[in-house]
Amino acid sequence: MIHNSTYLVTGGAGFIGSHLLDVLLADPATKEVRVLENFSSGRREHLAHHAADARLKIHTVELLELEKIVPHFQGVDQVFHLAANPDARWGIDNTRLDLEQETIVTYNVLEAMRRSQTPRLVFSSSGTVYGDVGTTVTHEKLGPALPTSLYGAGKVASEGLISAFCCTFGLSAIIFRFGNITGERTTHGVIYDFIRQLAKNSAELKVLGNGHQAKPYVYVRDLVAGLMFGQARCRQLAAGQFDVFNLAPDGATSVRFIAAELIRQLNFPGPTQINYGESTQGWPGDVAQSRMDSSKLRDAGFPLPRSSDQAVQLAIQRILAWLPSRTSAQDDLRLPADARPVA
Amino acid sequence: MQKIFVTGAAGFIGSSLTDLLLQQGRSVVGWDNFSTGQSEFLTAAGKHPNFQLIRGDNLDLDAMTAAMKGCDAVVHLAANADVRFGLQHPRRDLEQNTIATFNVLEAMRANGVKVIGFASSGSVYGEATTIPTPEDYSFPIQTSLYAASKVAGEGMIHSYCEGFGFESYIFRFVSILGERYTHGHVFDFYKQLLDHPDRLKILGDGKQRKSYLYIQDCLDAILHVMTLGTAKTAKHRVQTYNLGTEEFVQVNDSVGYLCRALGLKPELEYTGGNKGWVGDNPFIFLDTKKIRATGWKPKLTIEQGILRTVEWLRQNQWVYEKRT
Repeated sequence: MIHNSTYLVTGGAGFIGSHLLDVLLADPATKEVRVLENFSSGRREHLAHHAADARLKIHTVELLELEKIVPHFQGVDQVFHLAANPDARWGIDNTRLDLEQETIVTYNVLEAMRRSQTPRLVFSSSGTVYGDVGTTVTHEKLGPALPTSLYGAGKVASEGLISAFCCTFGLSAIIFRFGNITGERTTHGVIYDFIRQLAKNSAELKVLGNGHQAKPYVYVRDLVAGLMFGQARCRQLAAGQFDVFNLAPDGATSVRFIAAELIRQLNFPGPTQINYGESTQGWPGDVAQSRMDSSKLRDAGFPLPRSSDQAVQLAIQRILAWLPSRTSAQDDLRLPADARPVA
Repeated sequence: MQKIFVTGAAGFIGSSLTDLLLQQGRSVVGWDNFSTGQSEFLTAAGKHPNFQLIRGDNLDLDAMTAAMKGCDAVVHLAANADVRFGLQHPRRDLEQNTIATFNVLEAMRANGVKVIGFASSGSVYGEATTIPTPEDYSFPIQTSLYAASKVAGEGMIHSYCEGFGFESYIFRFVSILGERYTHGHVFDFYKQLLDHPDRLKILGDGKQRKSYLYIQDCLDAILHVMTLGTAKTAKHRVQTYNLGTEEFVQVNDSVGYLCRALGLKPELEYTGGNKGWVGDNPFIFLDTKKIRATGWKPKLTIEQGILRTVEWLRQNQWVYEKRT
């Protein structure tokens, strides 16, 4: 850890952002952490336990408003740009969402960095940039990028912008292409959806698609360790350089495994009927199959500590332990009343 | 493809495409904001009964949606075309390329238009290590905001094909030249020689290798595959094609063709280094096997293309007044 560092985290009250904050603020060498948040999916409850920490500065701003965000970048050593539309499905109903919340917002962050001469960026991209390549194991050099969702298109556009700003204006950046991320404070995704359904009725679970969709999952705290590795790596880059790393375990976990594991851990007194759909895709634009090769990151010195299945198991355990502690729930995510979680 | 909406219709490629489409008996709705487009380029088209010109900006989605009504295909050429200005105006590529392309796709969705041809660029490959570069080359490492904006456009087009059933043709060009060419090396060099025939300043070391394609060959390629409908059966209904010739030249070669055509022997001054400007690509040379396999091939060599360009510039020196 570097002494007296000032960090700026976009989307800092979000699912990943809040876990990153826990790590940054746990370090006494951290001078300041600035959070830029619009609280569209970020939640104050995720930051409540840091209320007494004067090093944390929360700024409620829209990243779409460039002139308003620029002043916050003064004196920042390292930016983590995590703010984004968190759910790839939403782009179908609102096609402008990913253009604004991915592409334009990333442009604004880069432009604010350029104007403030902020040197370093860590960016959260996604395995969706590879598009629908089935069970092909994707490595960083796989091309071309043919995203099937507007979310993926926004990530592709953002990566391109980062690359151009690095090459043109001398910023340094680490781009991570994540697998699916899960864990406590989740705000969307398959486990989130399943728990909400089961909280309403534990006797039935409806699954979008045939359940054979399979992707690699990362437990959120393991991912944050990867982000910290990334920021250390970023400091080693010369001005104008950037690097791209996949961050996902080998293999994949199917939706069927997740459904079964969740029901096992919830330990309802009665049976749960799981009803699968017929489509191989969960929704239009969904990448039903994904396999990622993270050997580049492993060789660089960051191995993930667990497999995809283990990540899902741990995440479910942590989510179920977290649910009863939620103080100001803004959604109907809660522990099903008849659940008797296994320890 | 009976009534085609052409964005950037008053530009170099757009006006040439408009003329060709009208010649083929199709109707054209030309769309341009005239930021760099030239109304002179549409003089002939303007007299044609099947041509309608609508002045509008790509950032005005409502106006574009209204203008596109009744069209059955789009060729989206409008863009901030000068790679070099990214440094001074980083927002321009975002707006005029990325957001503009989004608006075109939204206007198409609103009008039920599903076929699009898109002018991307060979610069999307960045500093490719595989030369000539094929279409499935690895995820690009960009060097310019212009290239980044083209990557963004391609990505959105892909997702609209998947999400909304579009049929798309993405063309990654090398530099295009020929009649109505108004920016690039040859344009700049000729301008310098008009001003001072005895000397020529060359950015870089003159050894940058460049690949060019003649405008009519470029248009033939676009209409060839869009007419064949090759994307209809492609995975996700998208086809991406490199467009170029199978040869390349050095900047010094272009200078030689130009000077011979003009009968000049200027003193050459090099600024040095292997890049013409920050973000310049030292070498774009595209593998064009994929488009050739559809039956298309270019008719002119690079040298012939440059000679046609010089001849046109000689007869149309007014473009230098308009472009300064």
